[in-house]
Amino acid sequence: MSFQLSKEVTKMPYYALFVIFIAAIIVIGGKLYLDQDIAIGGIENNLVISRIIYSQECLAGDKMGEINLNHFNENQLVQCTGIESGGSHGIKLEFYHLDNTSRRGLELNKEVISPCLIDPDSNRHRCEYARYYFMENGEGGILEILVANVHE
Amino acid sequence: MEEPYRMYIWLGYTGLALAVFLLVWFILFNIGSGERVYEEYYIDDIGMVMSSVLSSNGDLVVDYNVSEKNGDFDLVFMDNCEIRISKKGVTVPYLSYFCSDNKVISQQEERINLGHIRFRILGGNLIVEEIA
Repeated sequence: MSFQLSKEVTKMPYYALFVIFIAAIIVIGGKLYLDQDIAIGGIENNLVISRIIYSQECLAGDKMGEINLNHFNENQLVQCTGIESGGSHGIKLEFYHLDNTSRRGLELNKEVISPCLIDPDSNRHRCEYARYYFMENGEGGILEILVANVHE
Repeated sequence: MEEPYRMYIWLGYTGLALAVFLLVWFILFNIGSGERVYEEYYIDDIGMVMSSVLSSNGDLVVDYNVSEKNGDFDLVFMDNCEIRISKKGVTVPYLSYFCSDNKVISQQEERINLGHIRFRILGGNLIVEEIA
């Protein structure tokens, strides 16, 4: 009789572990289901692109369709987008005149941008590209924008 | 002697099962009825509206209306473009979202209830207020 009892007692930790294991699965599954993340990384990147081209604190000129190259520097970009060095977002800008007389580029947070240049469909990064035609001092030019962020 | 011991063991099982059940119920209740999904939805939505508003050149007024309100929440707009959402009357815990800041436009810290919100850019200042 006493043998039967001790056998049952020794089984108890296993039962307990089994119950806790099932409970953990329910809790983790429930948490994953209810605590869903809304994927807005792509929209966030597009908002940054819009900020760059439409805000006069960024690159928009006084007139529609004009670019203000006086703001084409890292400090101004940080000021107008709030993307700071070392953050999870990165920006690459390139502007060149159509006759290729001048070309200027700018990169903010290169380590976030680089994976997009190697693999645009990177799983760890969300990369958004845009290309716009702008006027600068009466000459046409192309502004190429790449905004990337790290998937959380 | 056997029966009482056996009874204690099964009482132990029942107690353990009850404790685990209560733990699971408590955790799921906290996450589920805390309307966390709605908190996440509102904070992202308002954050993106704010990012758009901060792209404005000159003065601007944008009204944000919650068509169907799921839960009662408080919003805190920090001066660094951080937005925090929490259950009404509670400051902690909160969910936060960092919108795309525009350092040229200054903001003031504001605490309002989620409902009809007005974003106003006036002379380079962003004012967020609750409208009736």
